[in-house]
Amino acid sequence: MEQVSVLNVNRLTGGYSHGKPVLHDISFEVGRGEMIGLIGLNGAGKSTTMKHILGLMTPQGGEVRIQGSTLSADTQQYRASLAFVPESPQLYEEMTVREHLEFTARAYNVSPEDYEQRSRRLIQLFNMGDKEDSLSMHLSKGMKQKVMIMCAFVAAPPLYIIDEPFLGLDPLGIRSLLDFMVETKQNGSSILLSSHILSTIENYCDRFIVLHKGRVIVQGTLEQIREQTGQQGVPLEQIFYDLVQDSKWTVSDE
Amino acid sequence: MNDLLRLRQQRRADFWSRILPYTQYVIQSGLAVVTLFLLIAFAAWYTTFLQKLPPGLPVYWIMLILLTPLTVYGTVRTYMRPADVVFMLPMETRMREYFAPGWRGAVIGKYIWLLLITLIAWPFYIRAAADPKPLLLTLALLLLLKIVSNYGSWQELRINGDALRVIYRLLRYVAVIALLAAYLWLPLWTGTIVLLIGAAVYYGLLRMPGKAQVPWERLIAAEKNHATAVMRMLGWFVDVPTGERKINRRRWLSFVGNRVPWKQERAFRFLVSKTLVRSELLPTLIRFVLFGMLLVLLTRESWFGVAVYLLFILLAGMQMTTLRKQHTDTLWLSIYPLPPTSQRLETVGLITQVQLLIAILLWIPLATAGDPVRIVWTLAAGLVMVWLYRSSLNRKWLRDLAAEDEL
Repeated sequence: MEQVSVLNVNRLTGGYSHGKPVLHDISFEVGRGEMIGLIGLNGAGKSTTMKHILGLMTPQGGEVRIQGSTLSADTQQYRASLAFVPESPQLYEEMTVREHLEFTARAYNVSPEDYEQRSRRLIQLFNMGDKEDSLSMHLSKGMKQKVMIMCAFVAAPPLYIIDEPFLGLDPLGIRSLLDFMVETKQNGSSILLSSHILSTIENYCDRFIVLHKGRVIVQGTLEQIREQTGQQGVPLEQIFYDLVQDSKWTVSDE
Repeated sequence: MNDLLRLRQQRRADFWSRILPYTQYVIQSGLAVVTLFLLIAFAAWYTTFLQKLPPGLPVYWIMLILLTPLTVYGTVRTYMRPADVVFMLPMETRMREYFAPGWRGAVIGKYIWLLLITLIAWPFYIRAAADPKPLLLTLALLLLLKIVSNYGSWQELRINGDALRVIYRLLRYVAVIALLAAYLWLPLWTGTIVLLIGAAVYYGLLRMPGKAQVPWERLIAAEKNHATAVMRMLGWFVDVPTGERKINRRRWLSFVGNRVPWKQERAFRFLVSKTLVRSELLPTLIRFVLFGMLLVLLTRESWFGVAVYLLFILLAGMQMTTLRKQHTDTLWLSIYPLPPTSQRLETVGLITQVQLLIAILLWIPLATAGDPVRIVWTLAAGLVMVWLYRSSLNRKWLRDLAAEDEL
């Protein structure tokens, strides 16, 4: 049986102004239950790619489909199919940790029973029990990041878009997040994850997409990338370093 | 002029250059007409009031209530920015030069208003008080109290320790009220001496706690609150960026919003209800409604009272339009799967609910006297005003959305 991809990015070209695209003809897929690492240097186009997937930017060419549907075809269904964890926590100052989870659950139409069960588990997992009634403005940066992550997971959609989730998290938080992502993917959800901590994600992601100057320069499993680059047994970090240094793989802006 | 003074001047000019373009819209919004109307109405009422002073008025209490707020309220505009804690820290020992114009401006600005209120209230005071004090001495002592109070509020920011700061703030309130009362109630020279000694004792007490040289973070937070308050006031009349907001936990109101039905299309009501009870809008509304109730009570036996009643319902609605602007730029409303109409419907719904409550609260003082038919008709007019405001808000919102789509 053919597996339908949860996310399909097809020949996506886009950016902040017409005539000056940041992304050039990007194509990739995220299958059900897959965790994909989107990696690249600062300014490679990772966040811009994510913004296009989230529908915050309109493609100049190509299209993005989530579960077979585009944003314009069914906006609400498209949005209900994904949850986002941004690089910088963006919370409502006037709401407590628990209220953020409740607002997200209400917005994603999660039943009150599921919300109770999921929120209890997440609060315990991320060690936020003594902060659940604190206003978000009184939390540290790492705690705010945990709230962002918990909000995404309380919604439990088929696809997670996660941008640099480890920034500000303590080692315990990083471990909890990684374990929970593995569990989430085993339950059938898909994750597109962007991170610079390559040594960590190397062991967790099923496939990797390497973006450089707005183009996908290689993609595949770690083994496939090793084969493509002829670097058997080399860690992802070293392969990535060589890839972005080597002019054979990089394409000029001209 | 030294570099720090120039920097402050430049920041002040930057701030006001952002504010001034909006003032024409504020005037166009009808504020000028309403203010003029209220001034004329007040002048007419005050003249009649002075001619026939009711016997047994609590003149000292009235003077105390009039003079306390502007004497106690002492804030200094610093125009400080978050980056100052990094870039201006090396100049910490020179920061007195930067703050000095702000201190002077704060005293002078508030004192002018205090002077105005005192001069307006003076004809009433000398007619009603058994043993009125001399005007010039009163103005001089008010200036002294104003300087001491402003100095106190500045020192509070410098005091180390949250609890101690709260204690000193309370001490300032108590000291200013007690010294004003002593001057008003006691015989002339006793009152004056008590005020002078009291001010000196308060000044001495301020020297006791440990203080930071420059309380960077508190000053930056206070400045942010000032700027937000100015923008919020402008926001009643014209669309302005709301910027940073002052948030208060208000545990006793945590239940508000929790009973909103658990439906996707109602989720936004949950958020906007929390915004209402935890932002500065709530205390502003409470103060506004209490003031409105007092005015309605004073004018309840004339048609002027009906006009004041309807005006306050309208102005309360205008204040609540800030709720609409609170979440215009939030990322989550672009990403969460909320129905496209829910933000408008739920915000307008909440505003209408609160405005209805305000219409009833403002009506209570009206209902205590006068013609029963007029009382009932006034309430009906108030409810119609709420309905009209709701329709106008909905129409304006849809019009703005259509204009955005065209862009």
